[in-house]
Amino acid sequence: MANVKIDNQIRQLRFACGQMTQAALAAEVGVTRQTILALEACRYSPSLELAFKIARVFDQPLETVFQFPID
Amino acid sequence: MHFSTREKQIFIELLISALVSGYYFYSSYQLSGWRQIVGPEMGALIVKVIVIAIVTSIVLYAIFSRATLEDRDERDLEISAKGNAFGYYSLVVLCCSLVGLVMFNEGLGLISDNIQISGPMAMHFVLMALMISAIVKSATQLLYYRLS
Repeated sequence: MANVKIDNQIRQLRFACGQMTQAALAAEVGVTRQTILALEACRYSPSLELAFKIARVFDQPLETVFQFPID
Repeated sequence: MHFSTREKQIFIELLISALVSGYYFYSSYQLSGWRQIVGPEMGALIVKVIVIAIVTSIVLYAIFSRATLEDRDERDLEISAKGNAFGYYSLVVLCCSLVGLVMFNEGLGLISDNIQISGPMAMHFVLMALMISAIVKSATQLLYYRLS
C-alpha cells in the first residue's frame, strides 16, 4: 500500500484556539510534542483514536481537522 | 540540528553497539584469528568488553542525554516496530548466509580448502550477525525519527 499523506489543519486550529502551543496540544491528547510536529508537517498519519482526540480538543468534526486527498 | 531525548538515546545505543562490537571483534581476531577459543584470554577480553560498555554508557548518557524520557506514544511504538522488523530481517539474512556458507564449504566443498569454518569461527559469525542486526535496528529507528 502506497504511503498517502493525510493533510490536516492542526496548525491553523491551534492558532485559532488562542495560540495553543504544540506542547499544550500534545499534553492534552497524550502524545509527545515531536508527534504533533510530525503531524503538522504531514509526515505522520495518526491512528483513528489520536485523530478523534485532536478533533475533540478543537471541538471540530474529524473531516475539518484531517483531509484525505482525492486521487 | 535538534535531537529529541529519545533520538539521543538511540544514537548513544548505536554508538556503543558499534564501538564495543568493533573492539571485541578486532581484539578476538588478534587473539587467535577466530580459529580457537583460548579460555583465559577470551574470558579477560569479555570482562574488558563488558566494563568498556558500562563505562561508555555512563559517560555518553551523562554528557548527551541527561533529560528524562517522555512516555512512548503511538509514533514511538510504530518506529520501534519498524526498527525491530528491519533488525529481524537483517538477522535472518545473515544467519541464512552463514548456513549457506557452511553448506557450501562442508557439504559441497565449493569453497577453497584454505577456508575452514570451525566452531569458534561460526560462533563469531553468529555473534557478528547479532551485533549487526542490533546496529541495523538502532540505525533504522534513528532514520525514521530523522525523516519525520
